[in-house]
Amino acid sequence: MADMRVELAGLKLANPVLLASGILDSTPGILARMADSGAGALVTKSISLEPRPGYAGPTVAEVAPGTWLNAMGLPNPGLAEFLDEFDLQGGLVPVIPNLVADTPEDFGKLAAGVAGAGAKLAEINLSCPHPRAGWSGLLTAQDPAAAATATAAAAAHLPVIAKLSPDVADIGAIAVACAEAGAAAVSAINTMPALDIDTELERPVLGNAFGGLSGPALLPIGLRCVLKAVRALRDAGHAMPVIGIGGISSGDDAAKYILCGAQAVQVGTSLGGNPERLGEIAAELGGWMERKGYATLDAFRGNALEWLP
Amino acid sequence: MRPVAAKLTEIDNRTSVGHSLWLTPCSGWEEQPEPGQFVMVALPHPPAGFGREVCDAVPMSVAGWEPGRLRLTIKDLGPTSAALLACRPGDMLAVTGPLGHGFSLDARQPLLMGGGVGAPPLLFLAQQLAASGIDPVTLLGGTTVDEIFHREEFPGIVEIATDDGSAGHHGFVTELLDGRSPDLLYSCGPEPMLVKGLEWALANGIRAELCLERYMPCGVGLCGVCTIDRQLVCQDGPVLGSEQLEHSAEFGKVVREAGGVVRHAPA
Ligand SMILES: Cc1cc2nc3c(=O)[nH]c(=O)nc-3n(C[C@H](O)[C@H](O)[C@H](O)COP(=O)(O)OP(=O)(O)OC[C@H]3O[C@@H](n4cnc5c(N)ncnc54)[C@H](O)[C@@H]3O)c2cc1C
Ligand SMILES: Cc1cc2nc3c(=O)[nH]c(=O)nc-3n(C[C@H](O)[C@H](O)[C@H](O)COP(=O)(O)O)c2cc1C
Ligand code: FES
Repeated sequence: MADMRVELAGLKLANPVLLASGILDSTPGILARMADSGAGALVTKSISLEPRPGYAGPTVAEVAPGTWLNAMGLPNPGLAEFLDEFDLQGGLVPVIPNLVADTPEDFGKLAAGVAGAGAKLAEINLSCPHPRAGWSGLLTAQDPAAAATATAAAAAHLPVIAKLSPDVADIGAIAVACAEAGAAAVSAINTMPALDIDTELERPVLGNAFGGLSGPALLPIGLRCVLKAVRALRDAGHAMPVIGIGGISSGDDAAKYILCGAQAVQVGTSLGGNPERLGEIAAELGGWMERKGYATLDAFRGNALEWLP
Repeated sequence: MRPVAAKLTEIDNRTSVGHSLWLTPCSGWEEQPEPGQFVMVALPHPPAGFGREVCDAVPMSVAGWEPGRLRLTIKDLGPTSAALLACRPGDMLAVTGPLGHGFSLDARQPLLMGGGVGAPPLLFLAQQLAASGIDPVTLLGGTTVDEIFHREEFPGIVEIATDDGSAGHHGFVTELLDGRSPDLLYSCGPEPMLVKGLEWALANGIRAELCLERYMPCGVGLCGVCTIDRQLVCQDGPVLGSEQLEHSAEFGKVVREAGGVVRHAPA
């Protein structure tokens, strides 16, 4: 058996395949099922200080086989109820709360809250693809300075992963800004902002009009973003890890991200309708490593980097 | 799975609290759905007299089907259901589905028990059981006679119970269970009724299939809000067997509202 253990910001994980935020992670019950399915760690849905009911539907639409557009509207019960319901310290599989806020102050409050409840690592969502007026998501994602301020505010309380958007001119500059602000890691990518139109109804398909694209179509975009972030960090002399996200539906897809230098990966959309697929993807990655003769993840991580122009 | 535009072609089965809509989607629906499956039905444009805030997608059980057409029976429970009930023939809606897992058709001597808008999926089930030569017995309950949907349409024997005594037995529909010995209890309706139904079935060594409701932001197994314990009601359900619910920590106790906020069910 290949050794798939990996360390992420001080957490020791049994394997590098994590559950991505917002997919099958809204209640303790489903999170326990995803842990048993074989996740290396579990990222929760985005939690805000106050409850958010979510957007009007339709909230999801499959736009090409396996590829989805969604605008859930970050439905969540708010920090207080989240802390009441979820156990952030126990459990065999680490739970990584994902936090969303519109100001650095609120990121700080959220981070203090989850750190107080025992979380060892949090992910901050700097990249909501479909924010409403007053929601800062996509703006924070675009601006290295804003991303750094939000990161610093949260990182004052516990190690944080800054989650980045693909819809930016230079993801490398933003990753470096987050590293310099004290991030423990960056994760990339969030969904790609997108739109679909119904020709019968002559209106956007989703209730919110704009949504985020996820699933297989996102894989090549995610790989490019991860590779660019890894290289920019390396060039700037930062050893900070990058977590690859976007379009993973097999162990082979996960291997692609690690070949681009990712420390670990997260899987979301491909679990829709098939929660137990998460553990299968991890097992497939192990099978790939065995076939290739790799005993550890370090043995092949970043092998594709030398081909960069 | 994606929302498909669907024309409202016909309205029938009117009561003072709701009615049925027949929809013709632009594509799909050539194959018969399972009874108990549901759709996310969306209002793309507000009907006359309503604002855009009613435009939302909500889950509704399939109450009937013909090739290329489906029927929904809707009760006025709030803004979106009221707006759906204000739509007129010719109006366009959008449906995603059929979704989830429905009832098995395993029973030889089935007993069906429905409460309120639990009746619509049971009607579709009863029609399919009857079509395969099985005579269902159906118990229907409601607060008052007008809240009992489809009572004239069920094939086989139908018995009624109303809380106010306006029709049939004066009391809860679950009071009609005793003394019966079906090989399978199918039920859909308010959760306190389902809880009683499951208790009765377990006490009598009868298998039960119960159609549950949970708040559903997506309906397609992506978000994980609609859980009961570790099961996704939109995907593993909405119909769950007695073996899936008998040891549940949440059945009859925990439901969630928008955002996943916990609301403990009334005792
Ligand atoms: C699988 C399933 C099948 C259903 N079948 C039928 C049916 O055949 N006929 C019928 O009349 N009703 C049915 N319902 C209930 C129906 O979905 C609600 O009545 C409707 O969503 C109410 O929306 P509203 O805006 O009118 O009212 P609101 O005031 O918004 O809500 C009224 C009630 O409906 C619930 N509700 C609102 N939105 C949702 C949602 N997205 N998902 C789940 N519950 C919601 C609320 O929690 C509340 O309890 C079904 C529900 C589920 C889960
Ligand atoms: C239904 C849905 C909900 C999501 N919710 C969140 C969220 O709350 N917070 C977040 O940071 N990302 C959210 N995402 C983005 C995913 O975590 C992930 O970055 C993206 O979907 C790409 O990965 P995938 O192709 O494997 O799904 C969501 C994605 C989907 C499909
Ligand atoms: S409603 Fe989203 S998973 Fe069931």
